[in-house]
Amino acid sequence: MMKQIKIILLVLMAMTVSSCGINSIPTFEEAAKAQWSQVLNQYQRRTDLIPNLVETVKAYAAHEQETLTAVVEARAKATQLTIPKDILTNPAAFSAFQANQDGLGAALGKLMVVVERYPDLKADKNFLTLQSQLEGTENRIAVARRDYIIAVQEFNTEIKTFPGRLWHSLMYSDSEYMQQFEITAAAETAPSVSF
Amino acid sequence: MRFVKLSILLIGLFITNTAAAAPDFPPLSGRVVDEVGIILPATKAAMISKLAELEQQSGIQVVVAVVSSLQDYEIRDYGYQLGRHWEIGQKDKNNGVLLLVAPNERKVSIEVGYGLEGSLTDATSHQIIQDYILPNFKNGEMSKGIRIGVDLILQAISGEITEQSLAEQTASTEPQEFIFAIIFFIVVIFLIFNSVIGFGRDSLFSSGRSSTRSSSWGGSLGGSGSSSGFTGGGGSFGGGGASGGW
Repeated sequence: MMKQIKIILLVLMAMTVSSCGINSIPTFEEAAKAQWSQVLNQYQRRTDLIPNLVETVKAYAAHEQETLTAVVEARAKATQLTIPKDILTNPAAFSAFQANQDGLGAALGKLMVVVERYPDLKADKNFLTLQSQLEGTENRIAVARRDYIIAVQEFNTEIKTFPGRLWHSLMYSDSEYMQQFEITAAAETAPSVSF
Repeated sequence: MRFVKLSILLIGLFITNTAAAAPDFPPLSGRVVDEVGIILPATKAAMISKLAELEQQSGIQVVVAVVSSLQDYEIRDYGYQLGRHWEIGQKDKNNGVLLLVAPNERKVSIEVGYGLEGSLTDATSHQIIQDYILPNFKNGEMSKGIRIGVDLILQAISGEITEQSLAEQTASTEPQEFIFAIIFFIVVIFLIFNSVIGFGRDSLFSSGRSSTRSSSWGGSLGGSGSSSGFTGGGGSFGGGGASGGW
């Protein structure tokens, strides 16, 4: 009988405790990680679009070799970078990732400015499709990044503030602060493909 | 006492924290939300019944929003947030579409929920905007542009049109437009008759009252057509779709 009461008390305690935010840290951490994989997905989507885009532009604007090469090289740089498992808590790896993606965004931005000079290219249905896909993808990247920023903000705030701070030191000391995107000029001006 | 102060402070912090920068959104008053009043009442009623039928058949929610201001946000930025705020589409399927028009900024966008990105692709959305909506908007035919946009969105969702077929159709738009116009005309006539006969004096009364803003016969139509109690289904948006300006 005593034992049962003890168990019930324990369960009750656990329930009250869980409403005090004992689960907040892992919950927010998982949410932020999920948002991060969304960011990766969308960047991957952009990377996948590029070979087709480059081929199409080449057919009409072969002597824009320099701009095209810049895009191809930036893409190679971005895909060659292996993403370490701890990227979210590793400032160096995170900023390297961001620099590569921003570089690719800037190269693409230049390409989309250059193509304005080629009316034949701009009339090509295939190119128009790719252009709208690129625009949509850039928009998805922006949304995914913003969602990630919000999720990380929540997680980092939880660790920093009471009662999360307490739970962090007691139980989740292996959860570190997550890295945050910096809004760079390059990111802001990424292909603003206007129609 | 100190504790009370502290907790008030904390609550205050919490509130300001969660109310992070987001635009003020108009309430979701129905499937067609027109803050500016550019959609003809008959068109509005016809669209609402079409959109209601779509949801009944497939669970897909398509909402049209004409907003008076984007509050200095980019239209795509405003659009996905409005779609999320209204929770258009079903929760697990995210099968919602928002056609957003900002006449004052002269911008239009189609926001597509994750679940429909396969059928209503970025390219299709882009073509619908560029080749069908914008030409009408440029002529000042806002209501017509929105109606055609909605029809094409529905066709894309059902798989009747694709990027390729849209591209081929562009050249032969005229005759189709003509058929659309005839069907629409018949629907309008039918609706007028229906509302006048169906509501008798009431409809005349209410149309007289609301005639200050919309055309005299239209007031009652808008009223009878709007579905009360329409709510979003919990769907979310991730930036799919396209936008354009005129």
